[in-house]
Amino acid sequence: MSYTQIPITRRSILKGTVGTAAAWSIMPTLQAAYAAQDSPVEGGRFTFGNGKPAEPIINPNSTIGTGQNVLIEPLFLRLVYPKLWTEGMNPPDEFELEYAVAESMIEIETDRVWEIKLRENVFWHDGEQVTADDLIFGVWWSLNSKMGSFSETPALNILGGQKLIDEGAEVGDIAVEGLTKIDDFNVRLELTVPTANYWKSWYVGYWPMPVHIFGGMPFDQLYTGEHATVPVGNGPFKAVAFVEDQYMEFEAFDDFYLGRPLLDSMVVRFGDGPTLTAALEAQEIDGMNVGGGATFDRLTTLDYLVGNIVTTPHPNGFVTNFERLPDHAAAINKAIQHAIDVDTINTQLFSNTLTPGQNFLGHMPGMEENPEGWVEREYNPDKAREVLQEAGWDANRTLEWLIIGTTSPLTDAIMAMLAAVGLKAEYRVVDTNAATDELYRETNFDIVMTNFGPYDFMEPNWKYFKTDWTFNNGGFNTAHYANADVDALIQSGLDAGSAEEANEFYKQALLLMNDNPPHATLYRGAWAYVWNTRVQGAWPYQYRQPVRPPFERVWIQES
Amino acid sequence: MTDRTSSINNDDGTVVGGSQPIVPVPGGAPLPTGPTLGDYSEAKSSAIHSPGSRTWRRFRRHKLAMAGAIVILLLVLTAILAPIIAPYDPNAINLMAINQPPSSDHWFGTDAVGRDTLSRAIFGARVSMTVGFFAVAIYLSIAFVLGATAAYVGGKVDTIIMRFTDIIMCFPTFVLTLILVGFLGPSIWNIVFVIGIFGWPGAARMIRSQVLTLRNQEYVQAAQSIGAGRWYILTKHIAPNTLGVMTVAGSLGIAGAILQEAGLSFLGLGVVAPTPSWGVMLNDARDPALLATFPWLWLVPGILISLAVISSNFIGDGLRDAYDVKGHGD
Amino acid sequence: MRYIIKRLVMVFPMLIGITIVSYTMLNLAPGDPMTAMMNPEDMAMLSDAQIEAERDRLGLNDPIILRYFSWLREVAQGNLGYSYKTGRPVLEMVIERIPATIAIAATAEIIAATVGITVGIYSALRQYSFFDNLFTIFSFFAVSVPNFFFALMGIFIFAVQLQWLPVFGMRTPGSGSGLTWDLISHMVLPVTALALPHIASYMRYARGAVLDAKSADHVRTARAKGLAEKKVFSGHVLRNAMIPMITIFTLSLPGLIGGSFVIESIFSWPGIGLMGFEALQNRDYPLQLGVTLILATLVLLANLLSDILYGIVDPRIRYD
Repeated sequence: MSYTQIPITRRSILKGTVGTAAAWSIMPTLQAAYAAQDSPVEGGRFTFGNGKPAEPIINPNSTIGTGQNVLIEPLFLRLVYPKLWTEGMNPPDEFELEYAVAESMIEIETDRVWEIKLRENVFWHDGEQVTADDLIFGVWWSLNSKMGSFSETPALNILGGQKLIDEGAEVGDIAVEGLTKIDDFNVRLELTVPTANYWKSWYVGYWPMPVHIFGGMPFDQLYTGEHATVPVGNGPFKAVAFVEDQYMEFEAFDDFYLGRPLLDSMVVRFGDGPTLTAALEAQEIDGMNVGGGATFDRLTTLDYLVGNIVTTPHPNGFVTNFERLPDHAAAINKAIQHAIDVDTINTQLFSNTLTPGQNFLGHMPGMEENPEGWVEREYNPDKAREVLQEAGWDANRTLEWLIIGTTSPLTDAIMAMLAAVGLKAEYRVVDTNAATDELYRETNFDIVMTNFGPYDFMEPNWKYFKTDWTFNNGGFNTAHYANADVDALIQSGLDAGSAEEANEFYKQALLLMNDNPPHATLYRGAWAYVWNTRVQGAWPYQYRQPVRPPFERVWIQES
Repeated sequence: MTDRTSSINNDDGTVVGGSQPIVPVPGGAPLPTGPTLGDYSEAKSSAIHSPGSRTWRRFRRHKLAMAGAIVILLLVLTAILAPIIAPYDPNAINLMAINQPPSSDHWFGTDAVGRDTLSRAIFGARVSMTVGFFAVAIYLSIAFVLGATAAYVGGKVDTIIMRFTDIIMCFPTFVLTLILVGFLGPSIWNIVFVIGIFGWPGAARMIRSQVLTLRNQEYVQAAQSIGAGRWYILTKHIAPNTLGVMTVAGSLGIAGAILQEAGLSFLGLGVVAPTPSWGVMLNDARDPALLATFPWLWLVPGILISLAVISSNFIGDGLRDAYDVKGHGD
Repeated sequence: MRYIIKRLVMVFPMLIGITIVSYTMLNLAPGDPMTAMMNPEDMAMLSDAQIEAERDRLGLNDPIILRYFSWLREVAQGNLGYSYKTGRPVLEMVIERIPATIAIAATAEIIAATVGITVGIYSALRQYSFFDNLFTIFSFFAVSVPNFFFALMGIFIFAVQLQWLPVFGMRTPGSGSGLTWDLISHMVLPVTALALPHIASYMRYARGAVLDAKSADHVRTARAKGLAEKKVFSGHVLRNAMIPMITIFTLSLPGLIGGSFVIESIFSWPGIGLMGFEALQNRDYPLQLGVTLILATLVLLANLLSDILYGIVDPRIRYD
């Protein structure tokens, strides 16, 4: 729920909100109707258009999830990457890991303790070797509250992690209880509790950071010095220059562990949405995220541009505030699901890129099928009115609809659909920066449209509906949904011995929430990318994607 | 900084730089006065005494100004009668008929969610006219109070008021407006209020110099000599004769306010959707990829904004000639 | 000389006035002024009690008048506070952005003045001719169309369709620094969009001023004395007509700066306008106020400059 799923607009892309997750979703599907004819060519420059980073800090410990992924992924490697999607953007049948900094992992205790062996041929851009100390330091940084980390991908559930979050640690006092260095390239990792699907989640980020650079650095220099914007990483590309509000420039790293990238250089240029669209059409940039709909349709009619759609794993929909509307929130959620014509929105406004569906745990492995007895609420305005009438909803009452960033034709259309069934709503527009206060801290709204996270295992998903799980204690239950039965079932699932067993509990919980919905889930969204056809290699037709976009395999076909 | 003005055309207190009406154009220039479309010799003779029929006759002769007046009148009527004239509900969507080109059903086509562009444009007149007229009413009131007081009381009060005016004029109005609207939150009345409280300095200077001129007129001095009270003179002789300056400043101000609203909407700080406004419509249609594909989406609001602004400017120009607000030269 | 000194002295109360207006705005902003004053990274290290003590030390618990003076003391020392967003000193951030804004704003102003005044004089000399009417209509048009509209059309026609000019940014990445063709080609569209309304403004003023000057008493006298029309024009008309142009320069500055907010954000031009606009979106109040304060001060100084110029070119002004 870190950002609202809205079509790209100038303001949102300026803020980089839509570009959030840009990089991990940059891996496109097989929408492109052409295949590479020629063999890869070395050299050349690839230019990507993106919203500017929210802050001039290029660092996985402070910027993942703020639209900077496309800047971070070429620079920094994680320990491992889960293969989230396979063909057709479906989860793989068999769980697979792509090893990056790690060469292998041995599970010592099921879902809790591992021994990790690091590769010995991964180097920092300044030539230093990546070692166990860098891994420990990176995790320490990402958790340490005194280091000002804003990571959205902390090392979840790691032993001693909570202490670092709560109390912090001083500069130089680098230690994480759950990470024991065996030697320079072997580390033992210990979690607090067994956690099913741990490595499968995109949410779990283990980023080694160069301890020889940042290790002794005082807090106030971490995010301001030259390394704040031109950091030393270990990925396929080196940072060359960061020009605020303009662009970031990268060049190929000769000693990348998978070999030198094909491209000589890569540039990410910052601009607002419509301006970037113009630049794409004028061939000043080679690719960008445009959002589905008319712009996507129009651009992809040009013979030198090709589109590709990336389905997001986030379920999208409305949150209704149970605290403000204790007697009606559940009914409103049901009515919303009946009132909104998702299929028509999908075909008319999103070029058929949405995946309609109301199950908000369907993106968890093993939960793809709706449980038996699940009721999908079809588009039916009469039914919506009926539901509201039964709940005694006063049709003259106006709902305060919190908009973070900007309204759009989509929200206007939905507003009209809600009004048609007797759910009057009025926008209250706040800046993206106010989202934390308005949405999470104060939950200052009647309804809000948002998404519910791409998480693959239960803990992060539970944040959205666990009783009393508010922002201040780590949760995102902005609806103030409270359902003791659901809580008990989820807890039983977490305590269960196997994933299959756990999923049975989750399915029962889902059924309860189907009757008394915490959110009005509507669809899974999509990012629509448009590329110049000269971009080859990993884009735009490679489909068996790990989370890390394989930047080193991109190449440019000179015409 | 105002001293230079009275020293250039110092005999009548007219100000060369300072008396120009300053139209707060977003990103644009203050609209100059100066002779433009109609340099009617008749208008150049001193016309302060009888603002009535002669002014009207002169104004009427200013063809573009008349045309502008008719356009604005039509737009005001459109705004008032919007619910009657508009063929559709401006917020009624039809997802099966999105981005339709102009047709007999939808004269100006439909937008991204199938709303009727004509109906939205008609209702959009409400926003532009409201912002234009009300914002200008607010700032003319401020301008009159400050300008007339400065000129009429004179001395220290004059100096203080005019220095304050100079200070406000140093600030880029559009930036102040952006910031304050940001604080208050976007809504049509906040926009009216904010444009109103920052728009007055130009008009205040004009009014001040007009009152200064009037104060030295024979009939005012005559009234003073027969012992008429200050308040009497102010209400009977001065105030009615500032009407000319006020209407000139007002009509030019309306142009500026409409442009400011469009600018605010363009930056996402305008009226809250789905209320139709020309600025919002223009912003919705700004994607360069779609400019050529759906031209009616930006042409309609674009033309309307320009038409409203140009008409107000013409009216201001005509009024200036008619009232001979700034007798240039002679 | 006395006149110039008087003008210089006047600047100080004006500056104080600008700070009062800015400070009032700052206090209208929702949020804690403490955060605006302190380096957020320092603040993160403090306990609640320490923060309260710091509030006292900074005088934030004092009445507004006292607070204003302590704020003013900070401003006088160059501390405009810290950006909420980047935690960097506001003054430093603004100064970094000034050159980029000057590059397009000054160019736009120079082009507007040159083109506008030339066309204005031409129009006045051929009053009511076809070109005069054409230019007049153009001038109305140019001030009636929102400048962002010019920008969008410029991008669409010259960058996307014809591909003569780049769409956005200040330089092609890696194209070097200094005054290059690359830089100039990136400047053309934003400068044009900024300059268009101002061309109209200069044009109308110049035309009016020349017409005024043509019929002024001393010109009539000169003409009556039998001076050649050319000499009358260059010696009397033009000189007198050009003096008020200095005023137009001053008056157009705030508009130019307001316009840069829109134009810079459309073209991703890394100037004060883009930064100020982002500060608005980010609710970065200290940065907003810093930007406003500095822009107003710049306008004030430009006013001062134009006043001094006035004093030099127009001796009459020194009378008091």
